[in-house]
Amino acid sequence: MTISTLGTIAILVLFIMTVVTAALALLGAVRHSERLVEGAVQGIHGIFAVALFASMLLEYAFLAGDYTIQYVQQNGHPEMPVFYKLTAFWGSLDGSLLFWVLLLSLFSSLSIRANRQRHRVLIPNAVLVLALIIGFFSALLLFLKNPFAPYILTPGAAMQGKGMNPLLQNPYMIFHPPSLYLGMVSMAVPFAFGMAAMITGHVDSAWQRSVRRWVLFSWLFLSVGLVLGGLWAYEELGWGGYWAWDPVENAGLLPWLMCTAFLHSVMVQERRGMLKVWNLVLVISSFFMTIYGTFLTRSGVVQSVHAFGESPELAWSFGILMITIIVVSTALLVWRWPLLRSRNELESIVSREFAFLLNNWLFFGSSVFVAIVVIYPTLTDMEGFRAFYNEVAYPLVKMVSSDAQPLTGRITIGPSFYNHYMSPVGLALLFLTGFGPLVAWRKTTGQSLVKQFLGPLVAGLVVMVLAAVLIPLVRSSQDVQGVCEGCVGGVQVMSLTGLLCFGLCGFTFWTIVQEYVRGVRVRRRNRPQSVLEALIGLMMKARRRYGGYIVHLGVVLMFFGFAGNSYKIERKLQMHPGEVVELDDYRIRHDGIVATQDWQKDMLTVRLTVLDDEDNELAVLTPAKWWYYQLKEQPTTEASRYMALEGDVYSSIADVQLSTGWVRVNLYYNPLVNWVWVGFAIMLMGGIVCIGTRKGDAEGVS
Amino acid sequence: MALSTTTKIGLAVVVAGAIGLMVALDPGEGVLEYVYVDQVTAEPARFEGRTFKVHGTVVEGSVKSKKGTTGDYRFVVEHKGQRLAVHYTDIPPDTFQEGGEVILTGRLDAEGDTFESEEMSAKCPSKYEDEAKVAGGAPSTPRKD
Repeated sequence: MTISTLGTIAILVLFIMTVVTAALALLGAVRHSERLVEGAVQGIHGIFAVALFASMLLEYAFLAGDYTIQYVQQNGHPEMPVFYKLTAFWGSLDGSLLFWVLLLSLFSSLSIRANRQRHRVLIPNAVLVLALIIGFFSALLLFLKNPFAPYILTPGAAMQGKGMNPLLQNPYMIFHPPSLYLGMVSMAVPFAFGMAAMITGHVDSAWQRSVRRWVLFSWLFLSVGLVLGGLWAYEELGWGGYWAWDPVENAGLLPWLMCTAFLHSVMVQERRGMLKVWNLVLVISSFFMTIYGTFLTRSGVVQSVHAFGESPELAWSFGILMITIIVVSTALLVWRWPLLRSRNELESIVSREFAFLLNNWLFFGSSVFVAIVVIYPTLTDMEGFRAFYNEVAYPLVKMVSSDAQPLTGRITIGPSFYNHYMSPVGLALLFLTGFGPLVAWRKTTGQSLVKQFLGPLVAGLVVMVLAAVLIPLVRSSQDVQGVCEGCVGGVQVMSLTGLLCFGLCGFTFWTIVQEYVRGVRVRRRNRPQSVLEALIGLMMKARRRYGGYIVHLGVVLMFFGFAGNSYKIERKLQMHPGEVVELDDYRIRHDGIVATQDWQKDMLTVRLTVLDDEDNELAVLTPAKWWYYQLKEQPTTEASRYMALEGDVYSSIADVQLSTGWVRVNLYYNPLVNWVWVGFAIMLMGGIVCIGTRKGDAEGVS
Repeated sequence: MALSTTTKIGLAVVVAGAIGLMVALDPGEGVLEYVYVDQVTAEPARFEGRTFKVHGTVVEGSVKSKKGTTGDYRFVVEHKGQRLAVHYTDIPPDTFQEGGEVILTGRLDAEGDTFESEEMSAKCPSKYEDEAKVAGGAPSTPRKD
């Protein structure tokens, strides 16, 4: 039997098993039959086994070079390094769906195993929901996108693969998609337990305890995926930035925003018995957004640089799944409404509950906002939507904004639109990051407000004033050449967003320091120990709380990096060999072009030497153009940068003229950009501290 | 004790004010109309003085660039038989080529017959998979121009 046939049979078995498992779980739940439920649980484990088998089979096909399989033929290449052969598994649409099923069945299996004894009542329905979701994806594999579909060759045709898209052959690309997948797929587990909680009526905090770590896990991997995606874009695409609000980037951001909201609002339910409905809404929305994100990237409904291509069947399938999720979960919420009443009411707006609620509104609101904006251009392409807009919405919009235009065709929405709306939201969230943990539950007295916020406010103001004075001072020492953010006629002027961002960073940073100092002081008062001991003791005792603060510290540093965006410089110019140009405080010298080649590409590399203002050589940048043999007419751009904590000197080349040695080069000075990655690393560590929370370790929420 | 009515009203005002302020402030050129070449040639007057995006196919043999300058291209884009002259003054992306589809951002010049643009995204003529099928295994030589 060929691998193609065997694999297809495995997919078929997988699908049948999900149907049987779902049926067993349903019957078991209705009849309260332990035996049937046990069967369903075994079914979930079995599904994982089959999915694992199918995945290994596909990996084997890549390694063995079985080019009678279409997917392998299109994505594999005999000369590809083994590492890329392995990752080619999820490099394209069909395989990525199988990868999705593999991860989903693994997580289902693990979560059911972990909660089998502790949350018995939820199990049958959780199994049911998970089996249905896996069933949906295996149906896609079976009926629409079988990665084992055979490739029928005419005799004599070349039996060779085409290889992976060169742009994806980058180390970040090995970890970026699986990391996002891990984060997105694992959201199905909290969703399944949330649904089970509603179906069974056990809507107290038990279901949340069973999923809290899953949500943290999803959150961590989504974060890793987003940041690696940003790094990849930064290093590979050569436009000098890391985030452009591309639909595919947004697809990962949407569930991340929801998930972050959920992580905060569960604490309110634990502490105060409030926001029960809200928590369920958030867990449903988080899962919904993972499906919506998948829909955006896999169906080709939005225009994007890296969409997977158009597939109307897939678009419809995901559309139906999304509608089902909304209808079923809304019905369940309405049905269980009486059980979801709050134990407490909001007492004051200067309370931690309210800070959390605001945080939730902002995260939820921005997720919904981005979700709508990202699909809006596609909607405007539809005749029906345009007619609807012009008839109903346009007259209303016209009343608010006089220069509104009726829709006559497709529109596009660029990064500046997103930045315009999301920057203030980001700053508000940064403020809450500092504000929330410092106000008390229920209400805060004026006295304690002063005590808590005096230090941070002073710190924030000092930082803001320093930034306002120092930055123009540094910049005005020379004429800023090129296009510079926040410059007028080559002179740096104040950037309101940048200054606010710096100020809020100072404010929030100080609140975190203050909390740590206080915690350490209290511990040392109670028993004599060194500062370090007290610090470690503090972290061990209330991991969630102090781990959370570390995450917040990372967030502050990331925003510190974002603030640099308000001061970046961009120069696009043409350089002769030997020519020196200025970029901020640096000078860049063109030191010639080097031509090389390897097994898969020709490379032209430009040597650009970075000099400081005293003409010391700091680094040699090597931006390049690569021509892959498999894709000759489309060269790739390889950026190169000189990294420093104060900023990156970033270069990429647009064109090379071998006859004259001229290059067209894009130079960017990105101040503070590396703080984004530093902050992220710290955020990650904080997340790991949080996830290590032991069972029943809930004192961290105080 | 729940929140007082005054507090609630105050909150509502603040939220509405914040949203109103963000809407009222100009989001710049974030939102642009996206049209095909034939839509522009049908009624050029409608696009007068506005920045928008235009989608079309680069006509074979129409690309002319000034040698030795930092991005100065003239070419013609086409859609459904309608043509539009383009003056492009930046470095085109790697994927730009004759016969390929491009999406240009810019505005019509004073006469309304040339599209002035500094921003372009280009698609390869076909999907990556089909593209690779055409390219054989033979090594190419770097472009020498």
